[in-house]
Amino acid sequence: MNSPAGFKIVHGQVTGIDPFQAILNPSTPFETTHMILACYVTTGFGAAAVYAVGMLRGKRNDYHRKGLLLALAVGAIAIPFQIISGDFNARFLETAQPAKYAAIEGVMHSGNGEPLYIGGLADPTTGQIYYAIEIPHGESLISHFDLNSHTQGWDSFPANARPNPLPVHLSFDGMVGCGFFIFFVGIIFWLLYFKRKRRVIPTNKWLLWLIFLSGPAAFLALELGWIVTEEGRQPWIIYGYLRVQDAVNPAQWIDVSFLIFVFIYLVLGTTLTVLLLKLARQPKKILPWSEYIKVEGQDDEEEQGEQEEKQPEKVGAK
Amino acid sequence: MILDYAAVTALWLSIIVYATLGGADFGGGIWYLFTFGKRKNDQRSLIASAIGPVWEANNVWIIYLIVGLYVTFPTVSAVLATSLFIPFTLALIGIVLRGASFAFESHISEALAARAIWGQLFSTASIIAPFFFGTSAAAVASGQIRVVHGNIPVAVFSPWLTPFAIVIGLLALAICSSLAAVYLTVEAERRKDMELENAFRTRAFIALGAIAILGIVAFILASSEATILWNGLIHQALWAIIVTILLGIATAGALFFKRYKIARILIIMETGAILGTWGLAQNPYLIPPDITLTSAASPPITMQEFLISAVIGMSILVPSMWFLFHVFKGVNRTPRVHEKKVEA
Repeated sequence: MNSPAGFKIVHGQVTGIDPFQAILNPSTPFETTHMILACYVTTGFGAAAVYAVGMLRGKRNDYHRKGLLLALAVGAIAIPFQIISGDFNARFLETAQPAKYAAIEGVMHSGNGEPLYIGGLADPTTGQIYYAIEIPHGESLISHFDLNSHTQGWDSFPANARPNPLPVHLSFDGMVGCGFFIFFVGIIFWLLYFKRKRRVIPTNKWLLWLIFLSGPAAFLALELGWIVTEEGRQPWIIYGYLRVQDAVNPAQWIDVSFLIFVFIYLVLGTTLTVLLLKLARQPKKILPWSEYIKVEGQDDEEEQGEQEEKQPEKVGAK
Repeated sequence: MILDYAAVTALWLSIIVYATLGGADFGGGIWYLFTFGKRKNDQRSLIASAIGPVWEANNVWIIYLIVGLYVTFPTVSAVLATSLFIPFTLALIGIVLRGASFAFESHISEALAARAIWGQLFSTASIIAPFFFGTSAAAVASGQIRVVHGNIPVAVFSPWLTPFAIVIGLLALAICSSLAAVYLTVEAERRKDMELENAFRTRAFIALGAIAILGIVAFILASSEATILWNGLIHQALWAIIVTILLGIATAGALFFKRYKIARILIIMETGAILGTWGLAQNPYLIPPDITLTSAASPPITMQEFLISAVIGMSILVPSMWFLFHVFKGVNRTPRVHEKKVEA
């Protein structure tokens, strides 16, 4: 949808279809890698957050320590690659989807030696960005490694072919911010871990708090990333070919059905949470092995005596 | 052309498989509503234990169907999604609520009022989904969804609220109920529970009777309300109708003689025959009278790739499904584990 490939449109008819070219389109190596890595980061730090909370509540047993260690290993290995992959994505976007790129960076007007805007409100009505932290020449430097290079601005695109920069820019900065926060949490944890001679995991309270925060931050980054790519592609649903307004189902109760489904999932989500919490709070039953294992040939009707006679035979047969 | 027919056959088969597996799950939910007497809870637990392990897996077929239709006949999926937006949304709500409420109902142990609410929701949702699938099918078959000059009708009510559509919706409920009732007789027989066995045998007879009556009513209504379908039934599918009737009678016979496993096979074939007859009668239309198989088909390359990926997918899916059913529905329900006697 971001870089449609594998077809041609001749006189309004789709021809020359190549499904593999469509699957392996120019965006695939960038976006797909970014998403796969995002799964590892989110799962790793999400799971780590659960163990961190457990440890903050005083459950500092082996189970929690190993869980934290494993989860942070997965997350902390993935996050540097994720940041590198994100950088590749941004560079790819500057040529593939320049309007999205301009909105992401909050560059409203074209120019040389553009500053890097961190945060701020990119107002689509006035075409200005307000309250942003500006790093002079930063944009030009990080995107082209040249202090005075040219960057195409958001207002150089026609009004009907550019996204709303306000959510796109804020989501992008939010995603990058969360990503670097997670990255530093991972680094701090492993530095402290390897500094200790006995390879015991660090359980400082402030560190556990940071790990706890990195869990929601990872999920937030994932969602914000989707907002960046989807909002940034507007007004297109298939970039350059089909607009959202032309693709949407014209049925009039779309909004009603949306509200109904939101309501249903709120109810289902709440019920599920309540039930899962109940399940988690139930004390674990300690079952002896004999309750898991059924002896071969044993049926419910058979008597106890018969089983015991059969058992030695089975052992002997092996 | 051959590829188009191969694709539509693959999709039609998936409708049949979904009807026979997923339909039985819906049927279980319908019978859940009609449990009574002093063995009410036993009947419910039989239904729950029969559906429990497999209900989620059966929805694989409708996902396959939707994606397959979207890829191979994009025009058809566009027309259906816009014109039948309301019944499809209602069916989807039914499917979502059904799965969730079933899971919740069986996990709530203490709060009985909450459990009753979710149980009620489970059976209501089980009725909603097949009913609206049935009415949607009737809306398509009756030839009332017209695409004039490429204008697709939007969220219309009239095609799926005709008497014919409502009868077909009820027929879908009857099919689901009879599938579930017949399957449950097999489950009850395995439990060696004569009382439950007879309870579901009676229900199977009732549901089969409902299929027969509704089938006749639908056939009569089709002559005036769904003329294209009716002509197709008379001219192309008369033999299929006879096969369907014979299969129905054979199912009832197998039930009468308490040959439940044979009845199970026959009711599956009966369901396939009903849906197959519909497909045969409608050929070559997908949405009569404006959209035919060839006019809606994707280019051959897409068809080819769809069929190749369908074969690859099925070669993974079918053994997995077989294994799932073997584990939960086979004879050895408790896995046998070799045990050495541990010296104390």
